[in-house]
Amino acid sequence: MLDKKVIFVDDSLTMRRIILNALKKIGFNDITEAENGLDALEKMEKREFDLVLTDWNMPEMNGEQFVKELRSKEKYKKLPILMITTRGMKDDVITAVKLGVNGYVVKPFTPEILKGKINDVISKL
Amino acid sequence: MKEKNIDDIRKKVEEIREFFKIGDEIIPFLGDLFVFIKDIMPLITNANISLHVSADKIPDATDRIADVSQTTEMATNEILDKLDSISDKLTSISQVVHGDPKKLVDEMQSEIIDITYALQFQDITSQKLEHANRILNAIYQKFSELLKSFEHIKLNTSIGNKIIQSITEASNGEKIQKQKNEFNKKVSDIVRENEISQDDIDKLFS
Repeated sequence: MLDKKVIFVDDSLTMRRIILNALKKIGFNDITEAENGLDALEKMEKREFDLVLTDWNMPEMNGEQFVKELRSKEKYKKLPILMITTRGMKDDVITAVKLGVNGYVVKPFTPEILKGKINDVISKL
Repeated sequence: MKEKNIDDIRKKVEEIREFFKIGDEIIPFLGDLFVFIKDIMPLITNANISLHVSADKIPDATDRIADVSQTTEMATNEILDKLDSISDKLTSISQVVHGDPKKLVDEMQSEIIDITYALQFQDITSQKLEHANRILNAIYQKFSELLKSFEHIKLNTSIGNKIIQSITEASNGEKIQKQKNEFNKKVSDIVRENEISQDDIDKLFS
């Protein structure tokens, strides 16, 4: 995983720090943070990424709008996206699947769950 | 007197008799209606006061909820800073120790990771508070609309105008102001119920 470029999107500073720590422990070196969907889109215009981790509830542009925006563009159609959110209702997961996310993690998660889901998402593609 | 005139007079008398007959039926109904309005006025006045006082409290409650989120985020990140610092030190120690001490250091590292992940609670509770805040704001909007609708009733009919005017006057009266103050005090007391001042703490230790 060392060569993969990952961007993670979360408006919570606490979650960004926890996920940053987790990604470093998993073995990612090239990690970019974004505070919401709009911020992430701007950063993704400047460079390419191999994996996106995104929260759902965010100001400016939430995770749902962000994923929709990504999947509407040809260059991001096959980009692996893992959604990490507090929204754990069945309808939410169904919505996320329909949007085109490749994996779904409900907060709070353990290091093992996060690592497992990231491996799943990357290995499928 | 001509026969036609007599017929006209008879018709008029008949009309007046019918009018009084309808009046006999309407007057008790109007009486009932006025008693009903009289009875319901204090209730509406109280509801109006409750609406005003409750609506006034909502912005303060939402601000406090936002403060809680901000404070817990700051505190959580201070804990994360300390955990990062301890983790870095343990990594340095781990490189120079071997055997059981190294095993111990690795276990401590693992526990730090567990603590770090447990701090996700801050984001989760923060999102739940934000949800509660949105509900409170929606209630505030509804209250505001309801209060505006009083003004609308006032403009429609003269009796509506008089009723709303008397409710407004009653709501602003001295007795009602006292009720409002008592309500506000009650709310403050409930809020302070579980608070303890530093003086009280010091007394407990003396």
